[in-house]
Amino acid sequence: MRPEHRSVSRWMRGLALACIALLGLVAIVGSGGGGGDFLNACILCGPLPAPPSVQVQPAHPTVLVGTTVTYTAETTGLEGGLSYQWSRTSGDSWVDIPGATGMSHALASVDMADDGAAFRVTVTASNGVPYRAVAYLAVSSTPGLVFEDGEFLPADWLASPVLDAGQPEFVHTEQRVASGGNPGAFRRMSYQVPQGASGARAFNWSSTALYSPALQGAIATIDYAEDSIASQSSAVNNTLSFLAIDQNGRRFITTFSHPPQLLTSWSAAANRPRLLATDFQLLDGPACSAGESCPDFSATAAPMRFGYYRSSGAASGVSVEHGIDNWKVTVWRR
Amino acid sequence: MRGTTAAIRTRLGAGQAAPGPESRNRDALLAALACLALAMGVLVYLADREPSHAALIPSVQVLAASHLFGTLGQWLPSFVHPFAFSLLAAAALPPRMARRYGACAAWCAVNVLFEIGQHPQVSAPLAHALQRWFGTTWPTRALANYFLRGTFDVGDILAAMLGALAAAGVLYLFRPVVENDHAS
Repeated sequence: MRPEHRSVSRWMRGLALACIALLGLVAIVGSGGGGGDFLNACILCGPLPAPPSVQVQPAHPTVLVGTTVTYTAETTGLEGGLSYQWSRTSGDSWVDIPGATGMSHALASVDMADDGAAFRVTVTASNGVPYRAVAYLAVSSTPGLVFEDGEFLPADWLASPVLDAGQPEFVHTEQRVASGGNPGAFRRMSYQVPQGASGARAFNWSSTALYSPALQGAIATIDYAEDSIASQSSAVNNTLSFLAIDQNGRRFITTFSHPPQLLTSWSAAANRPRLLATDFQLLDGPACSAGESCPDFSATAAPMRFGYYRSSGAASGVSVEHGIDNWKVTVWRR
Repeated sequence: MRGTTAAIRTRLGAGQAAPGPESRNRDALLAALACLALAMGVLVYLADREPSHAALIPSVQVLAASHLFGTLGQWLPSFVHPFAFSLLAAAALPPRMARRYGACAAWCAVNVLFEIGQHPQVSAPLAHALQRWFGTTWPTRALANYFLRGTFDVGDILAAMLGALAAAGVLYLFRPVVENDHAS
């Protein structure tokens, strides 16, 4: 064979091999791997299925002695017959609870011996792979003190904008809206981002959610919940919400938002249970000295009031609208 | 015998080349065998599987749920794929046996790796790694969906190995012959 013919032949073989390899790989992926409903899932454009996971609800309940607690395993991405086994900590190991093989596990009339206990559910899928999730229990001998508001009367709340150095006062409005909440009334806020700024921030303090550790007892933990909603547009980056504490001239917010980002529909039950003093950060006021409890939850601490803090990131001149409903702070005492 | 020419046909060993029209005929036969096997694989999907399980194979009402292959239909596609594509690749390769056996090994490896990728403990990390490395382009999404939605089965791995082995067997049987003119 002449060299030029040999070269053409080699080129043709290479092309044929490349086509066969591509066809072979497409055939594998197109076959669906023996899985279910591959075509309807739209392999080229559809969302990926959620990875299998298990969660226990509630994950961190704090309850009064004598209360019944029911844990429920919630699964995502697991199909077919699932089997459950609940276990409880015993020293450093997990011990299966006899008969606790349902999707839920109830603890009737908890006592102080249950305080600090951890419970684990093992969900075994039909493919034999186990998935696990853990929940904790805190038991209090004194009832939790609840501050909550679902009505948001204007007289019960005070808005206090937070301004960066040199930032002019921004236009903000707060009003009670009788309907459209989650459900019923809610509090609507509107922050107009000032010129030259990239956002607007404000505290909203409750005039009734006051707590004095010296008079009412040291705080063990705080449970927080709120429902929230926010407008969205291309000019709005995000709106975040935090539990806020005002104590001794210092203003603290939680180190995380509830929920991570506000949505355009009511996102209910943005619960953050078992908040400790270490879950808060100083946002405004005198700096905390080394070794100082900030905020102070001890029995000798100064009185405090609760509220929430909203931070909206948006372009200059944009008016960001957001709302809050079912605001609830539960103080658990030592 | 001195002065006469005798064509001595010998089977080729690994690494030897056998050019000529007979080689082309053999390659065509291998390709035809591969196409026949692929057609059988498609028939499994048409007759034994739910129409929506394969993205590239349309539903044929006459064959749907006729279960022609019974239990065998469970693993037949896993057998057919490496078998057929090994033969196709071998037909496209130069007539050197080492390379052709190499094609069988390569398709066996590809099929086994794609099956392992569907294992519940591998699929999620693999799918996320693919998207992290290559972004959320449609080939990545298709691959990630394949791994996450596919069903891992040791039987499929064994079937793929058998398929590649069977292809190697066919290649051995149809190995090229060399025609040498010996002057004696």
